Amino acid sequence: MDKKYPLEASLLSRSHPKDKVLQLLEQRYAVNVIPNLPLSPVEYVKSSNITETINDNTSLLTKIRQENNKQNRTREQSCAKVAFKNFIKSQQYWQRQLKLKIITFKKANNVKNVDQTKFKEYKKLIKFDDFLKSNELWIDYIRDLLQISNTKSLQNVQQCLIRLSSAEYIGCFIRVLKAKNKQLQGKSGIVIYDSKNYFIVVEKGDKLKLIEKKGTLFSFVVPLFDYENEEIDENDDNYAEFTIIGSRFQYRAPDRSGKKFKPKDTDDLIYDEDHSK
Amino acid sequence: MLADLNIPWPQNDYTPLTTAQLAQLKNTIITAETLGYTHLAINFTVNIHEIKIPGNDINPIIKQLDNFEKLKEFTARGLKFFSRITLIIENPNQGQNLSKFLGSFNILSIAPTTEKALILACGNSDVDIITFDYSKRMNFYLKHKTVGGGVKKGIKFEICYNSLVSSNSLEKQSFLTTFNNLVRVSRNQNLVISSGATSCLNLRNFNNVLTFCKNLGFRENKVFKNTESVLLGATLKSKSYKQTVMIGENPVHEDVTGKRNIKEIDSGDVFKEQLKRIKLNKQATK
Repeated sequence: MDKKYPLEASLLSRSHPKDKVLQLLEQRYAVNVIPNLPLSPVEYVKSSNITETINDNTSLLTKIRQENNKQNRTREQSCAKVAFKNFIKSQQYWQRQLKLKIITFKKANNVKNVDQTKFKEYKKLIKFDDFLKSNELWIDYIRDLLQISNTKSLQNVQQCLIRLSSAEYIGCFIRVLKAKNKQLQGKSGIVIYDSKNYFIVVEKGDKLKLIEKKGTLFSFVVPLFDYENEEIDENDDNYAEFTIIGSRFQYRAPDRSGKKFKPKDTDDLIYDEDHSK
Repeated sequence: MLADLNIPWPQNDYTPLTTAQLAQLKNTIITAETLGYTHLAINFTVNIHEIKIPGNDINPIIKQLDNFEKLKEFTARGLKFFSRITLIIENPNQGQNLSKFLGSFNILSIAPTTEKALILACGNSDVDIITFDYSKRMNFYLKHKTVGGGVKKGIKFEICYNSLVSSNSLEKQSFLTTFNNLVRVSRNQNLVISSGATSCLNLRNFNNVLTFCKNLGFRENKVFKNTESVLLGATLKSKSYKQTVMIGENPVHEDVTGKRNIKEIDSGDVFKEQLKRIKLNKQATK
């Protein structure tokens, strides 16, 4: 009977014990009776209080509510996006804590240089060295994509640029060339996530940094020689440099692959320092 | 950076230049250089209705200037040249297909002579610059609605001071009227000042022209930004894929095609260090 009329059952269960609910429901749909619901006033109980006072004869409504709550909580915890967000927040928190601690330590002991690895907050930070492998893999990938072989030169620059516009940038070592936000100028690091509006980057000093794409130019370098077997100092000539125009790059990587870009007005791509030249 | 976006090509069709015309062009380039201009756009003006445009070799400037040996001296000293085409359009039906000019010229501009042609030019996003003939009285009235549409798309409007400097008083008169009209209609936005000098004596110092224009009610001080924006858009056509990823770091000032030395790159040591770090890390894990 509960399954057949769930709504009525849940309403009746608030004011009557379980046996009487079944009885009332049977009467309700009898032939010669006008359908009615005999209810009695109940005190308002908060949902949190209900969960504490769970007995054998808990009402159906509270049960449903409890199940919903459980489902929501598990969905939040399992969602990768939320977990990543929390991770970034915690990183920023520990970075702030570490900075504060170093300042107080300097004041107390009158020291100029402090080794940040001594502090316990440092252990919770993300490490730059862990991502060296991803950068190594990315260089192999991009050399494959641009078809750089032993010739030490770029073939067909236009074709290369088309491929780079839909390439993957996680693992790339980028540097901020110019930015409207002067604080970001000269920052560099390995990309660990490429969101719509931000590049999330690990800096050399084991720091996580969010760099806004809008109004920023990012430069990166592709070695045209085999850097594993050849000397790096001897091959100064053989590099190719590219620049990502951040203001036109505000898409996630999967959206970017099938995107038809449109050239726009270039007024916003001009930076003030150019006029002094 | 100081740029002149309009140094006219002496010929209006595809016949090759005579030696006298070449010497004239050379003189204007030399005077422009002494006045401090660093970026020059050589402008080839064509009336679409009178001259047939050939299928290939649309650009006469590049082809003929290669033989012009004096030019190499200028480029060695740091002068940058761009090629520009100006299409005189009367009937908007014939000016539909502009895409074939995009590949062979850096800058594409349109000189409309009727109101319908102006509407076409303001609606087309391939157009970089819209110019007018300042030496004659304009035969139509400029409206804010049409010009404002072009301003929203980022099209620049050009002011040529050649007829202001000329000895003919009628030309001066017509320049002032069209200038005032354009400033009023565009609300001082997206304006670009260039010379259009037919002889070397008509070139002026840029600051002189700017102060004169300010006296006439030209307010905005974004002229430098606007000219640079035109050049940037022109260079990004060939050096980037639809303005997403470009090669090199500053397309207007440098000339990069492919390979590059790490010492020329802005703080290239950072990238070199990173490569060394990866190599060490790889050897350590082995």
